[in-house]
Amino acid sequence: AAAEARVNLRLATVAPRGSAYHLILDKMAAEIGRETGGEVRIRIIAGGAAGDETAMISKMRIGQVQMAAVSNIGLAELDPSAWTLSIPMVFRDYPEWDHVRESMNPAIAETLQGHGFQVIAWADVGWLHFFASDPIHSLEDLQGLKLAGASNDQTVLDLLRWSGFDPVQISSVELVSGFQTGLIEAVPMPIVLAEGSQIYRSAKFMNDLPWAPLQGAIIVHEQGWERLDASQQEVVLRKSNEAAVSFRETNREQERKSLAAMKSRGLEVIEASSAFESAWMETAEKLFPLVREQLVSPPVFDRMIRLRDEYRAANE
Amino acid sequence: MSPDAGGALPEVAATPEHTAAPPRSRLAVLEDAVSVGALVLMAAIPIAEALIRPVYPTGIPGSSMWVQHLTLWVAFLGAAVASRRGELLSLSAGPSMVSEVWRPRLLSLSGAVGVVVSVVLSYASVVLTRAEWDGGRELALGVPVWVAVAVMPVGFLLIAWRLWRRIPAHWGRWTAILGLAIPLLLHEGLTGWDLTGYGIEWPLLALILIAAAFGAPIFVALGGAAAVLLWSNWDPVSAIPAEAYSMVTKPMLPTIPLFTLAGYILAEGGAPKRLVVLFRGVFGWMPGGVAVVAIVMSAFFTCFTGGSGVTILAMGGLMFPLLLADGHRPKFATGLLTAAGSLGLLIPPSVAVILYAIVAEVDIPRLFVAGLIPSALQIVLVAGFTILVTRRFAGQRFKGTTSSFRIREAAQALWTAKWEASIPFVVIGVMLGGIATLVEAAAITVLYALFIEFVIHREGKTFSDLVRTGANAVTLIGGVLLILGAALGLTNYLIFADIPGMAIDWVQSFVASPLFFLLLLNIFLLIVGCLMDIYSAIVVVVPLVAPLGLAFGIDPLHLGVIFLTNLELGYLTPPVGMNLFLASYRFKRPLGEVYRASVPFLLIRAGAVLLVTYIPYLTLALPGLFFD
Ligand code: NA
Ligand code: NA
Repeated sequence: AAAEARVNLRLATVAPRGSAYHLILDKMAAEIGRETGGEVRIRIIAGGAAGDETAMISKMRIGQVQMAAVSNIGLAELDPSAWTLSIPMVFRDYPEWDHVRESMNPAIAETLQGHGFQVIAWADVGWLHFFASDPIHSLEDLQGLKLAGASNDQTVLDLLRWSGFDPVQISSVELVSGFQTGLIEAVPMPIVLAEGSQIYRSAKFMNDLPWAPLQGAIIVHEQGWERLDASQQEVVLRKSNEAAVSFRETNREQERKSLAAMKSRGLEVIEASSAFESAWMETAEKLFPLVREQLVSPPVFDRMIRLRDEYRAANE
Repeated sequence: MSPDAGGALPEVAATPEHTAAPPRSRLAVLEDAVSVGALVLMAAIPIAEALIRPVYPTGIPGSSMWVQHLTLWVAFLGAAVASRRGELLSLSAGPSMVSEVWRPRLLSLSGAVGVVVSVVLSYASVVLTRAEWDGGRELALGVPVWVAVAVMPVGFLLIAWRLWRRIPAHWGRWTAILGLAIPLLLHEGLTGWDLTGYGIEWPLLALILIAAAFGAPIFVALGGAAAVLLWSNWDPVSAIPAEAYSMVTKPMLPTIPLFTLAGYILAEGGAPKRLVVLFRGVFGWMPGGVAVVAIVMSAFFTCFTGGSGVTILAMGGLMFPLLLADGHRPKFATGLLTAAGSLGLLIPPSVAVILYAIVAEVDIPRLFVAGLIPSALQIVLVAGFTILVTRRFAGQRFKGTTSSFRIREAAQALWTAKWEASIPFVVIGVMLGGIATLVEAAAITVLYALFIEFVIHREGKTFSDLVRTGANAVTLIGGVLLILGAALGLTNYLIFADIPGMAIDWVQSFVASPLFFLLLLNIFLLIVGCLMDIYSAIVVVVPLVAPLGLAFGIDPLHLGVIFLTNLELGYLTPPVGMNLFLASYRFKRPLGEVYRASVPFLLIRAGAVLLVTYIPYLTLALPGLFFD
């Protein structure tokens, strides 16, 4: 009877096999197995073996995969509101971002639930920074470069366009060769990914302006979620939230390590000048109305800004 | 058919000669028009994008999404066209090995299996289309993704219909209809019965294997096996179309149909004749010069068509008589052209390299650069052997060897074929010059090929010739991509049944040294090359081999080059190497003679594979020089 009662779930992730992220998920799966008396078994399919984020979500819909660890690029395929907490130039640092997401994420989760996906934990991907083949000190420097946007991610392209750039659409697999051949000269990218993809070998300069933070989530398709009873759901929720906390700590630690590693191999980090930052703030004034109207809804956007301002007022 | 792919219905092969157009139904006209139109759009959008980039870098909204989804349409409508023409790729040897009495019976059986599998895949695609409908994802400009995906169930249904009509015996058609009961009974959602665990998959797999051996298309074998195995593992069969969808809509995949189209335009436009003139002018003075011309020509064509099979079929007819006229014996000519038929597989813009890079996630330009020395090594070894053999007989039989090199004649030949000869430079220049992405480079190659064959060397060619060339290309592209999609279904099963993980544990448990691993890899890939077409082999086997290579510390670029050169060798290996069948058909020589004729070349190329495998420097020197 115990064997019949067992629920087998598959969790897909693009995190490489054996990476810190994979180990966190493995530990989570083991603990969920233990605490449910072996009733809930989660198998991790790591290293993108289940495909990219779009493919993972498609496999969740046809019922081959029940859970996935995805970034908000994947989540945005379900609902654009997933971009809410990743708008450029809204947040300055992690504490501020963490504070606002605490209040905002439940509403995003509710929207995603409407599409049949349960968010069981929120995690980090990291800040997008500009990596470039030439030094970027000012907004003019950046405007003088061929800026890339991933062609499979229309939203980042839109954000760059709305900021007044003409990004080159290029597939993410062509980024490295694109830098080498000069087809592109700059790209916004998370630090950990920049190290992993070796992009810094051609894009030897990084401006440390925290442009936009990306978040990720562990999601479950409702068909998988409904196979768990209430107590099992509680265990899965608790354990995945613990995993999300580890993710967050690991990611922030990994960002520091990756940056140090890239520096030691020749990456030059340019400190964002206050002029660069304020030029971007001006640009954001053009960007925000479009984001507010077209990407996320006005009430959501306004609430985000209000929460941020409250936090800033309380901490200054 | 793609010859290349595994097997060929010889009578329909992708030779430029076959043209005879029977009257077409209205559906057929529509099918041809939409598929060729989609292919033309696939080329037009990236070209427009590359052209407007200097003034407006942002380009066309959602352009890459459009091109990727057009690939899906070209793939499935092209496959439907191929099924109408009876040109879906299948293993050709089976039916000819049985008696007249048994042949229609086995063809009926394999037809019935083909119909059942196609209907199952159509249903699985309906499930996927509905999931996309529910998801509500949008392509661009308000067009939902499900509209693009809906071509899959339609394509599979058209294929099922055509396969059904081709079943020779009346009872065979009834068997096909009754056979549909099998998937219905196994569908737990319908019957409520979980029939897994009783070993039902084994007789079904055996049936599919028999069908494949006796004429069922290759995609039926791969897709049918994938469906049965997924079912036995409690996995949804709609994983097959889901994988096909995500593969075909990958950003780099459009390069495959585009380069194939460019190759077709050149092959059917008379480029081979002009190139022969060129290469004769340049190499004709050498002892065995015509043979060297054949080798260079084959390499040149394979890099465009990506498939050695296409090369044998297209070049064979042209070069075989020239070699005989030059004094070579038919046996030597056969062996040479068979062996040369895959020499350009690693040269840019070979789609096999591109596909490998996509699947293994390595950088495409790096893999091309890595393949340059190994390619040159193979060409030099084969050409060197040819020259040695020719010298031994020089003066006795050979005519072409007596002429000396005349700079004026060579220059004149170069001038005549200047447009064709410049194609590789255009492709590589566009790719490495930072002017265009790879997809755009492929589209520009199509435009350039069109310009050469329909503007420069017009020679009375009409618009309808162009459309016919497009339809021939679509047939091959559809046939190949359909196999690719079905093979991905099988890969999906392997991954979800955790077979790569088990393979890693198993191999690591008794293989300690990387050298021993490489030797096992050589043997394994030789067998794979014998049994599978190159596209299926890449998508099914790379996910198994790549993690192992990593575990043994083999450089991913080195592994890629080993993989591809080793597979090529498999196509020359008796008794089932694909190119041997194709050569036997093309040169009208008995299979046994082709085997014997190819053996010296096989040994030479095996030597090249061993050198490439055990001297990583040959592969890694150039990428190190260019990229680091
Ligand atoms: Na081949
Ligand atoms: Na080939």
